[in-house]
Amino acid sequence: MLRSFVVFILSASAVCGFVGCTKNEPIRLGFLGTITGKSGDLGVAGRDAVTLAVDELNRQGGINGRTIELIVKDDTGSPEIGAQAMTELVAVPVVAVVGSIASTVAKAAIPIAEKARVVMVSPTASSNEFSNRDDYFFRVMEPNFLFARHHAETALKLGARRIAALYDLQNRAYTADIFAAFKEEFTRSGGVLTKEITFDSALKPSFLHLAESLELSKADAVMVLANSADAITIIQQIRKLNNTIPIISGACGIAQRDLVQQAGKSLDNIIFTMPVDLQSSAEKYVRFKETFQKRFGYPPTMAAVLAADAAEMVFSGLRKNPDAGKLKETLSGLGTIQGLQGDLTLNKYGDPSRTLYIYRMKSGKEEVLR
Amino acid sequence: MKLNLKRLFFFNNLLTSLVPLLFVGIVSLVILKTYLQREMDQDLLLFARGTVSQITRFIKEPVDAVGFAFREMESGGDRDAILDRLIAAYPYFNSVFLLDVEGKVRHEGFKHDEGLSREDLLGMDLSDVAICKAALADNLVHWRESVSLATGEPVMTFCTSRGSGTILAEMHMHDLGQIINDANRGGIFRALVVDQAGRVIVHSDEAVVKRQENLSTLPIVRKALDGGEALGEFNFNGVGNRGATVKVPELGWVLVTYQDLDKMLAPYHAIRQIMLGGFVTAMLLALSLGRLATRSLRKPFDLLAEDARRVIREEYDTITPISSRIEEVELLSKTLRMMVETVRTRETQLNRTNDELLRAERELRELNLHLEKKVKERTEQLAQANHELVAVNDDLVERERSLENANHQLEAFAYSVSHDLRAPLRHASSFASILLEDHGSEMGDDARALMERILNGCRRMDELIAGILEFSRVTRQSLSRIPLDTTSLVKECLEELKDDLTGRQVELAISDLPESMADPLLLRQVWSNLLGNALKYTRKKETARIEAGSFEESGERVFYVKDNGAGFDSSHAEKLFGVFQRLHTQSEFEGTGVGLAIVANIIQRHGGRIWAKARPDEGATFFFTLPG
Repeated sequence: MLRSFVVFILSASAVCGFVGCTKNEPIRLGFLGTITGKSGDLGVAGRDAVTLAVDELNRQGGINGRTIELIVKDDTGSPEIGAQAMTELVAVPVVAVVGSIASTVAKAAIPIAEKARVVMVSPTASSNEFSNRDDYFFRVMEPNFLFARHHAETALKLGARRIAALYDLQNRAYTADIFAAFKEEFTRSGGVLTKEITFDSALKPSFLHLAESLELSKADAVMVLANSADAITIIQQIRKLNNTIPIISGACGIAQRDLVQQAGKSLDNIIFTMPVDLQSSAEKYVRFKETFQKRFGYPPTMAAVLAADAAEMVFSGLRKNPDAGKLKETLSGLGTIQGLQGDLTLNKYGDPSRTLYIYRMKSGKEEVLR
Repeated sequence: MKLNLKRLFFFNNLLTSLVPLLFVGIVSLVILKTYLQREMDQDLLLFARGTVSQITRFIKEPVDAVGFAFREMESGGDRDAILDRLIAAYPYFNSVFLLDVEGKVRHEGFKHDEGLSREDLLGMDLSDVAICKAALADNLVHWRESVSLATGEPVMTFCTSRGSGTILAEMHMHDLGQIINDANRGGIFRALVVDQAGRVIVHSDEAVVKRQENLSTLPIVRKALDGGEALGEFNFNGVGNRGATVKVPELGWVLVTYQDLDKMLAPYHAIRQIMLGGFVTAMLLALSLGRLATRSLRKPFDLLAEDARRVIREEYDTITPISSRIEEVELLSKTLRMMVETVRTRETQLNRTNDELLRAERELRELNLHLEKKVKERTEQLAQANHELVAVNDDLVERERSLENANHQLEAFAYSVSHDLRAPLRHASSFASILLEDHGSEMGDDARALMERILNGCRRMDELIAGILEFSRVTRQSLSRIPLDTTSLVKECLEELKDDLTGRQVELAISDLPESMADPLLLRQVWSNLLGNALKYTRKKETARIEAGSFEESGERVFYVKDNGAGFDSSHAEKLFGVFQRLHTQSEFEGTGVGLAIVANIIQRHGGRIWAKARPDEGATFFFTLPG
């Protein structure tokens, strides 16, 4: 009798355990981004947006009755740490990774994703290198060369034919990439680059000296490609020397929240291009904006909108085919996804086509230049 | 499940040991948990309030220090040196900027090993920074949590303005984290601070702060941000915690003190483990005791079972007393032996009774045999009588058939005789008429009178034969019964008789008559004959009165025809319904004496009855019934 009693208890717990495992097992989604450090703002906004998207989806019952569990990893902006974090995520295993934020980290993480056959959907990595490749890397932001071309067109439209440029060699995959494309387009259209200055933010340079070496008097406008904190300090230095010269900045360098507050007036007449419309009246975006503001206490930034779109791309794929092993094929065949600001069309490699918006800072606020 | 001793002992032991154990255990656990939680809540709140006081004191110090620096500057000291000293004296400052009236950095104290150089910082335009604007406007201290331009980490900044300028100071959060760590009572509690948006800005683990996690969705944080203190459970970094929240009044931040639920409930879990252990031990003990008790009971029970089997085999003398330490077993053995004795006595009695019963059975069997013989004889007699009865019955049936046959033959004979008689009668009648017409003049009066009498006799005979044929026709006619409107039928009959009414005074009283179930032709004949008779026998009355009607009697529907005619003596009434039977002479009233016989025959064939009541010269009434 004791034996049968023990067998009963063991089988009951085994059955319960089995049922519990299969039925309630959540879908694990990874997030890889630069959450801490000077570029942390992008990663924090991205993480917050993905957290919100996951919570919303779970509140609606998840996907096919399974909830989503978000596993967040911080790459601190370092390709090595990013690669390590990606290895940890694929070992979990996760069905997909929303990330990374920086192109340099993406470059280090993509081979790991390829090997493990885990899809990465980056909100902001925009290096040209990743375009038109049939791989496990997808993104919701257009590649750098399109931004660069846009910057060049904008500069010429504003009457700036002579430009002095300054860019950081950290996150070279972003800065050097975009600068090269800008230079090609700008000079081809008759523009002149009066100065090209590079610096390594890790070496803590004197930004005033860098600004002075730009020889602003010879230029109609300045182009700055750097991380948020450095970009603002550099802009402060430029403004000390010239209070009015237009400054063209990389989107990621300026689309920040706390930093903008600190930069104050110095940011006036900064021009930048963004792949999102922060004043969009799309119903989905307006609702997201309200919920985001309420939940996190700050309005969603560009990185937040893009990260929400990246999460939606993964969710759309899993809704269409819950088999994570086929996610790459599913995403390649999606065609369009419902982004926060409207439908996003993806080409066969999963690269999106978005509308780009030109912004100019004025009195601490962005205004859209039509 | 069938119970056996082993299971009985197991469940008995289990119930008696486990139920009290479970009851006491569960109650103790509930009490313990409630107590632990209450104690913990009090401690958490006390710790939180104490820490908030320390934070309030802590943020006062840098403000005082800046105030001191202001005073030093106002007394003419070197501003850069004062700010550098300030940075050196209070390590929590990252930077202290002195802004001019335009909001530009004119002097600074800065930890230059963190990235930015003095020349970078001087001249920066911070006039648009919100807290600076506010401080310039009201000269009060304005706080804000922010992100360091140099490191990207969360920092606290405050701005205050005096006549000598405006100071914007940035402080790192490490010291605040240290305060919280120091306040921690022996590592029992942990604490963190969230800003007004719910973002973690102070935590003993700096990585948590750097991640800028947002806890605004936690109900206790939400409640504290709204102004109150709160207690509750929440999940943080994948660990279940119980915590208290208190708002830091000056900054609008919220301090969260919490403890790992597992640690907090460690005594509770320990007691639960002990209970579980006790539960398992009690179960094993119940099982062992059950086995032990079963084993000690098994042997005497086996012996008892063997004794019972001996009783079955009637080996009464081999049953011996069983000795056992269990009183009940000895009692059972003793009872078994007593039962054996009783069984033996009963058996002797039974044997005796059995012999008597056998004898009685034998007698009964003999009696039974005799009885069977008697019954057989009687049965044979009855069969014989029955046989004879059947023969008599057959004879009777045969006779009835012969009678019916004879009757039919008789009817056929009557018909053919009547029919055949008419021919010679007509010959006689015709010849007599010829004689009278052709040779009447040659005959004397007597001869003519005789010839007249011959003719009259022939006519009369023809009428009689016609009557016989009519009677015969009616009796042979087949019967088909249908529902009939009697009143209409009677009226139609009277219509046919209207010639007889000519020149006479006749009162006709025909009431509404019920429907009849009869053959239409035959019933018409009944009414026609009866009404015709009534008209005939009232002929001599000055005013004739004829009535046709019906009434209900003893559940039977009776029809009648009443007249005030010649009537007759009722004592001869039965004769009237025979063929050729008459109560009046031909000279009084003509007729053949067949009409009423026909009526009677039709009524009888319908299953009805007919009878008459009359008095001479007072009229007659004919009644008949027709079954529905």
